[in-house]
This record gives sequence, C-alpha cells and structure tokens, in this order.
Amino acid sequence: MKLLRNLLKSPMFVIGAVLFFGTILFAIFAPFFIDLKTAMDRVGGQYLEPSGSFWLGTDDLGRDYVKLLLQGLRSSLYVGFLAGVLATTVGTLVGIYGGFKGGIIDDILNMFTNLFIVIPSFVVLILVSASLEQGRSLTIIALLIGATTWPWTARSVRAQASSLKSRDHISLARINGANTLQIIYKHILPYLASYVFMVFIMQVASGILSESAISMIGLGPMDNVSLGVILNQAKNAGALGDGIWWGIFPASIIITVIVFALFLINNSMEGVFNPRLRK
Amino acid sequence: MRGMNKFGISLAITGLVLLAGCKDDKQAQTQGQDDSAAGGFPRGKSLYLAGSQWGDPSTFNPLAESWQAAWPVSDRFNLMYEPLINYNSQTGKFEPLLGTLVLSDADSIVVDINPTAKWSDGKPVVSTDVKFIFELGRRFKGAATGFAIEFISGINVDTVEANGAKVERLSFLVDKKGRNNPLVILDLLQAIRIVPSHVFEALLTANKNDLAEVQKLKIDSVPVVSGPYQLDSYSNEKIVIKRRADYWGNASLHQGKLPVPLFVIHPIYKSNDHFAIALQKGDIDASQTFIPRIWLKKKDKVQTWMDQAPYFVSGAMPILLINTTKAPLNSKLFRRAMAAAISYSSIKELAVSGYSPDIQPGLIMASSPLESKYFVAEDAKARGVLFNLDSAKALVAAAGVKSVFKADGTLDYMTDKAGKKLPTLTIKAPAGWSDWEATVTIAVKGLREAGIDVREGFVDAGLYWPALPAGDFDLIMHKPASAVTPSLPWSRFDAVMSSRNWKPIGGGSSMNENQGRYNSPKSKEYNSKVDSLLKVIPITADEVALKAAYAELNRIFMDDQPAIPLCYLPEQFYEFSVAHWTNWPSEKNPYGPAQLPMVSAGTNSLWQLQPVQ
Repeated sequence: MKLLRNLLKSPMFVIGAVLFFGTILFAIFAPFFIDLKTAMDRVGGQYLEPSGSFWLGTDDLGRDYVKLLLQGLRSSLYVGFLAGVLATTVGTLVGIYGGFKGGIIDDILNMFTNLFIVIPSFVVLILVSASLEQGRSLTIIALLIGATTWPWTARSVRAQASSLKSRDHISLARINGANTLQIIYKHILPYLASYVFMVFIMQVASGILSESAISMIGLGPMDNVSLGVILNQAKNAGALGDGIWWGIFPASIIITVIVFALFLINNSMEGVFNPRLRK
Repeated sequence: MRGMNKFGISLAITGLVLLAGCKDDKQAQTQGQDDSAAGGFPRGKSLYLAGSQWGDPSTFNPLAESWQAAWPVSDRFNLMYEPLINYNSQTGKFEPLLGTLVLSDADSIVVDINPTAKWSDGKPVVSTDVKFIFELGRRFKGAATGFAIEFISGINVDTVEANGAKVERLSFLVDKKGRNNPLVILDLLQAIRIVPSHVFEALLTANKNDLAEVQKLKIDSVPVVSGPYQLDSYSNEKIVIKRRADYWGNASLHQGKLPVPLFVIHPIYKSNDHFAIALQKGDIDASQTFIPRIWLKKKDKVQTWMDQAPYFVSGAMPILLINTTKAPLNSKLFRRAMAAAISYSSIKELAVSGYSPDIQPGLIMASSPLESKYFVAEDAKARGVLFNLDSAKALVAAAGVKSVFKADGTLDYMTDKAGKKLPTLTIKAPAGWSDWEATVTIAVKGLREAGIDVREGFVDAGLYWPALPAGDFDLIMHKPASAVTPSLPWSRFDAVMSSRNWKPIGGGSSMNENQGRYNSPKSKEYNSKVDSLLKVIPITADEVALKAAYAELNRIFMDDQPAIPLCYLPEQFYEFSVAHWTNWPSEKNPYGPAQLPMVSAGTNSLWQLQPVQ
C-alpha cells in the first residue's frame, strides 16, 4: 500500500494509469454496448465520413470504424499481453536461473541469450510470419513476438540476479538447506518483482508496437482485425492520398495512447523503485 | 532497462548514419547518369509514364525473358522494339507497323514487311530479322520466344509487288500437326518484338553461339532499335528514353510528324500509393496502376477513359481459381456453392471502386464489345450461378458438406459425409495488392456466412507466383489472359480449362494453364468435349459455328465451375493527368485505344499529345 501511495504521488503514473486502465476498461466493457458480432459486416458505402450514424465513419469495405477499432483494440491488447507474458516469463526464468547459478550454466544461457539478441528479431518476425501461409492468427503472432523479444528481459534480469546471489540472506538460506528453486522463488524473485513488472510493462508496449508494425506491412493476423491491420488496410486502400483521415488517425492515436501510457507507468515506477532515482 | 534504452538509441543513430550514407551514394549514382542525358528534361518536352517498372532495371536485352527485361523492352511496349503488326483493342482490328497483315486463314497468316522500315543503324528491317526471332526456338532451347515454334511450322518468304514497290511477303504456316492454332499466331505477331538479326547474330558468333551468354548482355549502350525512341539513361530511380528524329515510321505512318515528347521517362516507385500521389501532383502524366476512387482525383486533373463509372474499358477478368483435385473442392456442387456465396456487387463497389460493369456468369466478358457477340444471356440465366446465400447453403448441403457453427452463430468448421472434419481452405493472393486483398476479404465473408470454411491467405509475391503453376493452393487469385489480344475469349478459356498439358500436383510438376487441374484426362469424369472445343475454335472461321462452340464451352464452364469470375477490369488501368499534357484518347476523344502511349496501338497517341503551354 505504501508503494501504491508513493506511485500515486507521481503525476506521470496517475496519467499513465488513467489512460491505460481506462483503455482496458473500455475494451472489456464497451462490447456490452457495441455489438461486435457485426463488426465485420458492411453497414454503408466506402469511407463514409464520420457522422451521427457512424461516429468514426466507415472503412474501405463499408464497415463501421467504431466497431472495427474496438475489435482492433481488444486484439492488440491481447497480442501485447500474451507476448508480454511470454517474453517476461521466459526472459525472467532464463535470466534468474543463469544469474543465480553462475558458472557453465550461466555461460551457456548467456550465450544463448546473446545469440538471440544479435539475430534481428523483427526480420525473424517478418520471415516467419510470411512463411505462415495458413493459420497466421493473433495467438501465433503474439507467440512469435514473445519468442523474439525475451532476450532483453533475460539479460536485464540476469544482471540483477547475479548481484543478489552474494547477499547475506541468500547465504543464510543456503546454509539452512534451501535448494536453488526455493532460493529463487522465496529469496530472489521477491527482490526482483518490481523490476520484472516494469520489464513486463515494456514488453506489453513492445508487443503492441510489433504487432502493429508487422500488420502494417501486411503480415498480420488473418483471423481477426487488429489496430495494425486497420492501418494496413487504410494504407493499401489509399486513404491517406484521398485525405481520409478517419482511416489512419484514430487507430494511430489509440496505439500511441496505449504505448505512451505504458511508458509513463514504467518511467514513474522506475522513479519510485530505484533508490538512486527516488526523490 | 536503461541499458536497453542506451543500446536502442545507439543502434538507431548507427542506422540513421548508415541510411544517410546509402542515400548519398544512390543520389551520386543517379545524378552521374542523368547528367549525361543532354542536360536535364524540360517538363514541356518530357512525358512521364509509370506503372510498368517497379524494380531496378537489370537488362535491356530483348532476348532476355520478358520478366527480366526492363521497360520499355519488356512486354508489349512499342517504343524501342516493335512487332510486325499492332492489335487495336478498341476496334479489334490489326494496324500496320513493321509489317501489314495481308491474309489470315486456317493455313497461314500472311504479312508484308513494310519496305520503309529501318533500324536505327540505317539497315532495313528484313525477313531475316523476323525469321531470326520467330525461329530462335528451333536453334536454342532457352529462347524466350521458343514457344512460337509450337504453332508455326515454317515461315515462307516471297518477294511481291505492292503499291509499285517490291516487298518481302512472309507466310507464317500454321503447324497443323502441332498446335494447329492460327489465333495464337496472330497473338504472337502482335506480341513478339522484332530484333536486328545482324546485331544478334554477331553477338552469338562472338559468344560461341551460346544464347545464354548473349542473354546475359545488358544491351544498354546505344542499342540498334526500330522504334521511335532510343534508350537515353537509366538508374534505380528512373529510365529515360529519347525521341529518334530519324524514326522511319514518322514518314511512313505519321505523315512526317515527330512524336511530340522529346523524352519519355518512367520513374521507378515501389508501391501503388507512390504512383497515385505522383499522378495527383502532376509528377507523372499517365500510369497503369490501380488507383482507388479515381473520381476524387479529378480535382487534381487526373482523368480516365470515361468520366463516370466504370471509368475504364473492361478487358481482363480476375478469377478465383480452384484446386479441383482437393476435397471438397473436387465437387462441382461445392464449387457452385462458392460461386453463389460471393457478393459480386460488393466486390464491384468496394474492392475495385466501381471500375467493373455488372458481371455475368461464365468466362465470356459480356460487357466487352469484342466478346459480347459470343455471350448467350439465356444460357447464363439457366446455368449460371449468381449471388444468393440461401442457394449457396443448399448447394453446400447437396455437396455432402456439413457446416458446424459456434454458439455465437459464426462458422466453426466443415465436415464431410463421413463426419470427418475438413481443413480450413485458404484463398492465396499476393500481400499488398489492395484491390485483390479487398476482393478476397469480401469473398471470404460471404463464403463463411454460407458455411464454407475459408480464410484469407495473403502471401508475399515471392510465394504467390511459384504456387500458381505448381498448383500449391486451395483457391488462388488469378487474372488469366490479362491482355486484350486477338485470341480472346479463346485464350481465357484455354488458360482455365485446357487439359492439354495436364499434370498432377506435386513432384515439381508445373502447368502454365489450368493450374487448378480441372478435367484430368485420366479421371472417369473426363469431359473430352472441353479439349475438342478448345481445338476447334481457333480454326473455325464460320461465325455461327464459332458462336455455338463458345456457347457450349461456356455452358460447360458454368456447370463445372472450375473457377469463379469475380469482376471485369481493364487490361491496364489507363489513368492520365492533364496538368502537363492534353489530347489524351478518351471516350469523348476516341482517336486511339484506352492504353498508355507506350503499349501496342496506344503508342500512336505519342504523335497526338499536346503539351500544356
């Protein structure tokens, strides 16, 4: 509670949290008022301007942009969270285990991590995505993003775990007979929880941006609409050239707001969690 | 996290520095080549055409494969190299160029060589040049024009008197024992560009008669051409050709006039968006790329053949080609169900910006003046399938396929008669082709509503093109016989239905026509009538018999539905800007066909365009 009180003192955190949780709540509860089953149905002509009937106009296939954006928002958040969970989990496990164990295991895991870091992840993402002719779903895209972004988490967490392993309380736990997993779970992970959470936030933001980027170049999910897919379709349909701002700006703004909110939360948390930065 | 940030920033800076470096190199290279081009390109004398060159120009060798050669050596462009005759897609008539069509019957096609035609080195265009390119396939296996010998058994040369002058008369003999197809020979006469044999024979001799070695030459330094323009300069940003004041055709075909633009320039852009924006800004004068909502561009002086929908003259028919060897697509009832599940009006209105007239069932383009005489409305009404979701659902059930829906009413999967779950079908299309992507999206929506488990399969073009001949698809977007040629609509039927070279899918097999493997000659259901009609039509001169043959073929197509026609589009999107040049051919000023002034008979408008003062 003290931590939360400290966080709430940060205006950056408050703004970020309001924006982000507001978006989450909207994504969860808006479908009770907006029928998403008809999101893919044609409701009017091509690129109708925003009006009382269609608040954000229609897309190139005559679909209501409000519904598409809501569906896209949910999809992008799903991809962001799934990719974030995967990248954070894998990265944290690899980083903590390697950092704590040290020796040859650390060397091997570290080499493995560095190997993944030097492979250009976005290129891998494009190549794998392009080769998936069938079943390029939201889940597959999210797993792909998570599978290519975990090394950054592993590297950061390893450095933290490595510095923790020589602390007194770890030595005491070892003397008392705790095994490696117990020490990691009970004595290291709690120390890193705030750090891992911050990493998770950045991984979610990275997941949303990666999905948008890969969808923007036409390699996004085939089974659903996402914010990146909306932008890709608007770009391909020449919306920008015809001044159809409602095809580009709303989706771009939503992506910007989410990622900006996550950055604000991350930065403000760093200010609270890091003793050197704490005011 | 801070480490990550620092690393990211340094990576970004390094990237920017590298990018900046690359840009400088590119500009220097381009500038160096452009500077050599007679001191720039005055706008009032330069015509900017676009949409035919997307990548870096690699070769200007007319013996290279068409897909390798750069504009304007590739395809049906008449600016540097020319064919014997032109086919006017507006009138359906042949126009003289290097030759004049004298006679066309089931035995031979006769062409007189224009006695005034000359190469840029002053030598006359002679029968040896024509025989060289048409018979190259007899001498070399890898010749790009090698397929011509499948149709032409020989070329007889006579000298005759015409209009008081001695001319060489060429008789292209129809290979009766081979393909026996004078229609395709007419296609070839307007498609194959004649090259100077004296130049290429010398190159072959210098390269030990190795065609592959000659094909590697770029032929980009003052090539010997017969056309009205000569290669001036090129880079990865544009190709420039310059008017030849000594072009033989000025006197012979254009009453002594010169083509109006001094330079014709093709800028190289990477996407439709670039071409569209450049056309709106007046940076290019004409383009053949798909530009949606063309009516919105009128304020920017962009126009098309017609002022209102459908804006373009139809000539090509995008279709959904079906892999007929795979269950449940091997059922004609199922294929007809698919045809009934697609909203063609939505495709017309939304995917292709209203550029298509209303589509009719069958492979004959009912709205085309050149094809409509073969269209039988009664057959289309009786046999054809139109958009009707209820009918589609009934046909799916009749095909023995059961659709299983989720609780929310959306389709889950399909099962066969035995209750076995069928895999999700995919419609393959190249990613980024916006009109095709939208078409597929609309088709998928209708198909899924009808209980047909299909998804979009947008793939990189590098995966799309090999998949087509290999049959590596469930359904694939395709535009068969996309150019308006003398052999239409026969060539469209042949491209979709011919079993002449039928090969099973797999083992590296490849088919250039009927990639959906319809009507296998080895199957019990083989319909020999299809192939016999495809053989008979090209040698049938009697219009009544021809109409009956086309009608029968179209009825079989509608019954069997080996493919689903989706809309009618122009053979090329003919869009032009009147910001810098006027007097473009149009519906109101129809002095030429709806083609850019570089393609086939459309080239003639180069002598008619007027610069804006």
